[in-house]
Amino acid sequence: MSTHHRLPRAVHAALEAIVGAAHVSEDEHVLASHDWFGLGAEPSSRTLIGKPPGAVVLPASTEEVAAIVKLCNRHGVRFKAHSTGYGNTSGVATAGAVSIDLRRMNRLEIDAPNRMAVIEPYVTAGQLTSAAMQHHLMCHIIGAGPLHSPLASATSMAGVGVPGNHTGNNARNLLSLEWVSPEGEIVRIGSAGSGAGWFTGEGPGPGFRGMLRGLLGTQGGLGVFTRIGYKLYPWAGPPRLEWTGEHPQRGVRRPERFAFHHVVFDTWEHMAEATHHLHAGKVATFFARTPPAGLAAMCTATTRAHYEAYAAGRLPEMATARHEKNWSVVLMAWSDEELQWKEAVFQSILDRTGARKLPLPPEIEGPQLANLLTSVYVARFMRMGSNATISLGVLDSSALLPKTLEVSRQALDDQLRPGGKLLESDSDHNWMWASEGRHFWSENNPPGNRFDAKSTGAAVEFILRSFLIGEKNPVGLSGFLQGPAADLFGPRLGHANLWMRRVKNAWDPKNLSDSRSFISPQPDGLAKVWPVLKHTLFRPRLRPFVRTLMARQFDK
Amino acid sequence: MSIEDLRVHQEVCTRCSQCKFVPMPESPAFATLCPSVDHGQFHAFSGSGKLITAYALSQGRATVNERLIESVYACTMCGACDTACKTNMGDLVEPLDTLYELRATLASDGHVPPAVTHAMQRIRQEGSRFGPRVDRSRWAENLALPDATRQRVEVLLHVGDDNAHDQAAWPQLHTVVRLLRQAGVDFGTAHDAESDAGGYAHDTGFRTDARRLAEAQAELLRRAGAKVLLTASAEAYAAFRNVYPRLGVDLSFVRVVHATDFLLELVETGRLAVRAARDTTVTYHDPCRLGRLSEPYQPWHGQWITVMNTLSVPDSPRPVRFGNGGNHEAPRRLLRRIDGLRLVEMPRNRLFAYCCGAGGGAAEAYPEMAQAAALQRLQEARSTGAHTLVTACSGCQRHLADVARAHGVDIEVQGVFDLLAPASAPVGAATVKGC
Repeated sequence: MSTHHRLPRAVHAALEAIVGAAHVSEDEHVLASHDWFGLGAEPSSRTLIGKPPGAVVLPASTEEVAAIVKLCNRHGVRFKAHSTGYGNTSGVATAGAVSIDLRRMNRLEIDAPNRMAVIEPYVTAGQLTSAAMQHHLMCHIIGAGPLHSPLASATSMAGVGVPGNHTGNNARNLLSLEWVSPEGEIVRIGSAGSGAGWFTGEGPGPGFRGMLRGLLGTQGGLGVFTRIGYKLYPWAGPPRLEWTGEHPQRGVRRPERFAFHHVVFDTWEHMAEATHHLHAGKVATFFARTPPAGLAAMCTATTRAHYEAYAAGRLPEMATARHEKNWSVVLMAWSDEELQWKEAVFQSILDRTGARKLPLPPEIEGPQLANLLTSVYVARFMRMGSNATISLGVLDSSALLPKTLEVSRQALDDQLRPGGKLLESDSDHNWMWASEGRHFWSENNPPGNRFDAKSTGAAVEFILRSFLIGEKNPVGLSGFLQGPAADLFGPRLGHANLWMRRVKNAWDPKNLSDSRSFISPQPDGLAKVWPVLKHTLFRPRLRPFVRTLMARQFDK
Repeated sequence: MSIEDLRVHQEVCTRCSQCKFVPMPESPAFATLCPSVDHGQFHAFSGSGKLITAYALSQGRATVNERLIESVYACTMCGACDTACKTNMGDLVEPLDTLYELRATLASDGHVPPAVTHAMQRIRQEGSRFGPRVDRSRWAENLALPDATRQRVEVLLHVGDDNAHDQAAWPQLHTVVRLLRQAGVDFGTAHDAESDAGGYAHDTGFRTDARRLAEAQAELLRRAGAKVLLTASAEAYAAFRNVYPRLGVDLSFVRVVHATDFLLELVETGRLAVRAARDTTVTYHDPCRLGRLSEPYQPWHGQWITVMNTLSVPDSPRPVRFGNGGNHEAPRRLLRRIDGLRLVEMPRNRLFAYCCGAGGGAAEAYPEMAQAAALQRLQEARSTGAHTLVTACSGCQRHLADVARAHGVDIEVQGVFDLLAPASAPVGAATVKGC
């Protein structure tokens, strides 16, 4: 196969010696499954990306991981960690690199008294949730849903998610961690570094957790994380959720002392004001806003059902643009009295902001509640288009909520209209949720069609334009300024890219830790010409030209 | 149909790995869903991985070798990947369709494990992979069952070769016969003329053989003139409902029903009384082919189009198999009618039941994979506190019991009809010789 970059035989034999021959593969079909478009690839119409690893290797222990990394260092071979493999976001960036698939490392231990777990890379959020609930605890679940690896999210990516108002942000859920450095050294950071357990990422023991992940994580660009201490949060519900309804529209029965409301506002300003009060009042455990198209996907079992309901104007009320300003809110309480108090405060906030509760039929309420508690249906986002197009990444004051929508609409321009190149909607595509009890997250996710070069071109143009708008008129943190974008918008990040590069080059001097999305050792050519390019190319009147130019990049 | 014809489905697989896991697990220890990837470890063994393999083969980006064949055939074709995938992707990906096509492609090129080839030879020669045709009716010696090929009956009982050649299954068959007689059902069997229903041939990729067997079965039914095709075999039940429509073989002229459904219906309409009593706790294992795989398949002929700028949809209403149409409740409802019996559920049940490892040719070709799957299922059953694992498929029952015995797992394995049998009181029924 022309794209097969075989490892030197000595390297392959050494990998077999480390993990056993059964746990190394360079079979083309195995490599193809690590070369799949998935979710995290660069925009492309190619389904097999053309960057297969040289081998996939399945270590069972930290020591084996370290031995693999040292071997790669000796031979100058790149490597990349791969945990649950969600969407192949952790695919190698360089053809021929070693994909270190961590699926044999799946140990999970709940430390209930200390409200934490110790987990390995192949523990999924779904598994951890089911284990934690036995102890009246729950874990954070990022938007990817129950299939993702909390270890990967906590160590290596942004880590925001639907229940985040209660369960925080994974940048801050990470406690002590075990790390195989890009040169193969095993390092325990924080309390585990002094044999004191996994309860803190700072001392006693070496403490440089922030340099290893920052806010956005290094996405596999700085070694391999093999075990972490991870925060858990109180859960007042039952040890097991009770599921109702028919697959795939299954819902959960509302647990005792839980309330669930879908509330709608007449203006974004009122919604922002209510958000402030909800944070201040501390009565809403979880709250999330799903754009109308996302709600339509959650209310329907198939794309055809979605389309038919949309075209015929039969979508549930909540999934229409008329009710685009909404929060789905869960109140969780440990006693009847606490729930009564929360309900009363919640109602007073609605009264003050002119909001109203939208009644939901049981067949809608169940799946919605299931999604709020487990994020099980967020991945339906991927059903609405074949390309993930994500921008913004606001993590800031709820006062910015109206501006977030304004900027989103400005960036999307006419692309959501019939005949546009991103998913048609008479509203927007912002997914939002409250975070850490004090601010909110929003990401603008208009689905694209990667089999249509014009759609992919429009998506890339939209992403760049979003960042350019944010550069001039910031709307909170730009949570997706990763990889090459970090250099393009470095000044906007307080030149964080320069510090990221220093960290990368200091710890990975041979540049073998092979990430698609972390900073590169040197800025690429585009970064050098970008300051000029952005002022010339992205003028409004050149928009059609830029779209055509972008589309050409993706035309087969 | 070819792998290439299904490209529109393959290309939208997001590799999210939902095919490997229960959508929202109830237990951290029993959260996985795919015995194949649990065995083979590499993603290529998963539903998504096989789909990618098919795509890579069709694009000339992979070549067949022994390990590719293992990744495809160390799989029971249990359909769990397909059901789980639909949690979020609806009918966009349809993994099972590509898995069937991948096996058909490999089989047509002769890339099949020898054990499967051998089983197929036995089916061609004897009408069964389990035993010679002359032994097919031994289970019914002295029962004086009407021969439905010679005498018109209302109900044709398709025994299933997995039952007919397994002496351990005979008591259950005898119970079914006794209960049918108690209820006054006019039924018969095809005796030695009964053959494998074709499900195994289809699932292992031998589509021509499957079609031949299916057409023979349909012809036998036409000639017999029965109104009801009643089967005691989960494998045959899935073949009749899910496989035959894929092969273009029409059974719409008869009502196809599984024995658990049929007997439950007799009980609930007052034609049959079950007075069994058992002071025990049991858990029920959903056989894949009685459960999610028995949901009827309905052919669809249309195109996928893009609407709303990016949304991929079928251009006409397309029947989707979510698994809900399988038989999950009849065995449970029968069990609940047994006095004193306590039914507890395993964490993975109904649509998301974990396969025992016995089906789809995997047990013959890759026994270590099949044993690992069974062991995991037995441990899950033990975790419920049940004394007995009950199932409604002789293939599952035989395999689980063998593995429990071999590995010293302390749990009894029985069939639904085993539990109904001893205490079922005769209700104005004819005496059945030999039962």
